[in-house]
Amino acid sequence: MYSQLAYAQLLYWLSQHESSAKIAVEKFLLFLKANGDEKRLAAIVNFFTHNHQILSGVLESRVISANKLDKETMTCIKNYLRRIIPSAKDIILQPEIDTNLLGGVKILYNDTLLDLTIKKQLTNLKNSLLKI
Amino acid sequence: MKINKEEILAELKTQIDVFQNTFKQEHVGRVAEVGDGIVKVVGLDAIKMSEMVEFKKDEQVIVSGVALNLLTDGVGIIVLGDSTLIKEGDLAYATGKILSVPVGNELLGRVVNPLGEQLDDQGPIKAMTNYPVEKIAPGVVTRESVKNPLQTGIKAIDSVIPIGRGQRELIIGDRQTGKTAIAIDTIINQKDTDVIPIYVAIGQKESKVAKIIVELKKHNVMDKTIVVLAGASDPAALSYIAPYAGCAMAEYFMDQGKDVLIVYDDLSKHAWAYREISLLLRRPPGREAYPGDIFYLHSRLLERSAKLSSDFGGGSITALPIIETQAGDVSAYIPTNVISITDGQIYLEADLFYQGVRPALNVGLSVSRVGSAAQIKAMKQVAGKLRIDLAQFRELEAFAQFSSDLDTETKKRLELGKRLSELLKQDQYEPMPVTEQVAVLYAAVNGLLNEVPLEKIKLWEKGFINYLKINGQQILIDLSKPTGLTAELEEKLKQSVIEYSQSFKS
Repeated sequence: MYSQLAYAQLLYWLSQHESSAKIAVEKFLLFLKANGDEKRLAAIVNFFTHNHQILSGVLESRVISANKLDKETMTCIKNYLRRIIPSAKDIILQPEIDTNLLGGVKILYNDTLLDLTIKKQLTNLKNSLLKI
Repeated sequence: MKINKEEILAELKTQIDVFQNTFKQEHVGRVAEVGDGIVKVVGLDAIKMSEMVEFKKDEQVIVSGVALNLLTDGVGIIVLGDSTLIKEGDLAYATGKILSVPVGNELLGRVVNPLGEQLDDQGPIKAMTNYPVEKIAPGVVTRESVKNPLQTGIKAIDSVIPIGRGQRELIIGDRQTGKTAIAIDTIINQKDTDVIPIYVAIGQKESKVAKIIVELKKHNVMDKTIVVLAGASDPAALSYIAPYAGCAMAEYFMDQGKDVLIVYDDLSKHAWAYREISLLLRRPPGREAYPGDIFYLHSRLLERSAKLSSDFGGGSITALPIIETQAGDVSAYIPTNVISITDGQIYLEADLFYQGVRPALNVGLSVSRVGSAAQIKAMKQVAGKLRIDLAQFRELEAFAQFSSDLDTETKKRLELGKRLSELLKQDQYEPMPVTEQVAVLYAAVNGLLNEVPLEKIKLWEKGFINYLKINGQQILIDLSKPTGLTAELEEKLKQSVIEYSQSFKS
């Protein structure tokens, strides 16, 4: 059984490589019917709509910090993500503020979390002291 | 030694200075659905089966879970705690580890939950070692045959259905037939032995477990016992992992060459908990709505109970799983599964219980596949005749109800059978040492109790044991020796029985 992501990726590929939308959709529907997954069409289309950016290679990343980050810092973060994910065609950063973090930044992209906040470091320090 | 404030501050500063600031990538997913103890997480694409997952709030772990369903569009996770603390949108952190529990001597005398957290009031558990909850059972090469007895202290079991160290013996019967009583008496009988008892309560009433703990403390065996409790009000996920957690704790001691007795009370509730989890995870239901791997649930648990060869430490885990039947139906799904896995069963009947036969053992239907290999020599010599006499009695008993004119021989067998049955009755919380069992059973099977009125058999037994403790200590010591019941010892025992019986009559 193919996942929603796999079907959505197929539909996106067809949309990029077929001469018209009609042919792309027809081929997609034939493939769906051949696998007996017609009932999942609504869920797949919904997934395709909401994840179009991911399918087109655009990486969306949440950047959570205690204070508003300046342009230079945001550019640094973008360049860092470009280095570790070379396959990303474009990177969109979505800044968020959470004053509980005290300082530093949390970067969330795909299934990965990079926690560089002061709060996290203080927790790690506390845990290492408790182990003694 | 008094330590002043400055020294403590200096030490703290040193620890902070050497602290290495590191960061690592954490794999996370987002909670899409939560309810009924199950969480569906989107993401966590790299997660492995049975991997532990943590849910955090303010960097503190609020509850953990285990990934059980790896689907194409998400991960199904069972929550090992209060799932109301989790809400949609929360992050789920993969730990990269499988579920493990603290093990070690620190757990002896403690009451813990299936995660190894304290449930009693003796302070936190400070175990140094953790063992994985799920583990592959010992292989064929590491095992040896069961040959050392595990004495339950219950005459009917130690004589006719003997259990050995490393055996799996099922206790099966309807509700309120004395299944837990047999298990607890067996634990109490390990007080002066080197066996470490572990009692795993699965889905039981906490009041029942509290009473059990009180009894274990009263008989001074709680200090060496571990009680693992997943109560009736705990989530099904905890009931699901409870037996495996208990087994992990047992394996620690087995790996050190020690003998462990583990009681699973009961596996019927364990199967129900697993069915509940599987249905909530939308796994396809099979027979009686149980999932397809319900057999594997119990087989992989019970296979971990074994007798290891001396090359591997010689330790053992003896398992006493308990199954509750409905209306005596031993041919139901779960009972037949577990019967086929274990090395024998102790079958308790409600009818016998109400007739006053307690323990309510059906000796005819009960079996131990290890047999006399797990008995001391003296008991082997006595038990052989006991089995035959009981079998003949059972055949004649039904026949005698409809016949008014019986020959002398038949009457003699019936009287002997009645006395044997009466002697096999035993009060709860009064396990008997095996040498005393041999002494009283010897008297019965050799017809030395034929003159004692049936209703006074128990009284005779109590008196004879006291008589032996005062006048026949050496007989009791010699009965435990590998030489067994020699001709000389038998003569001494016979004389003791005759002497006591004469004084009992008068």
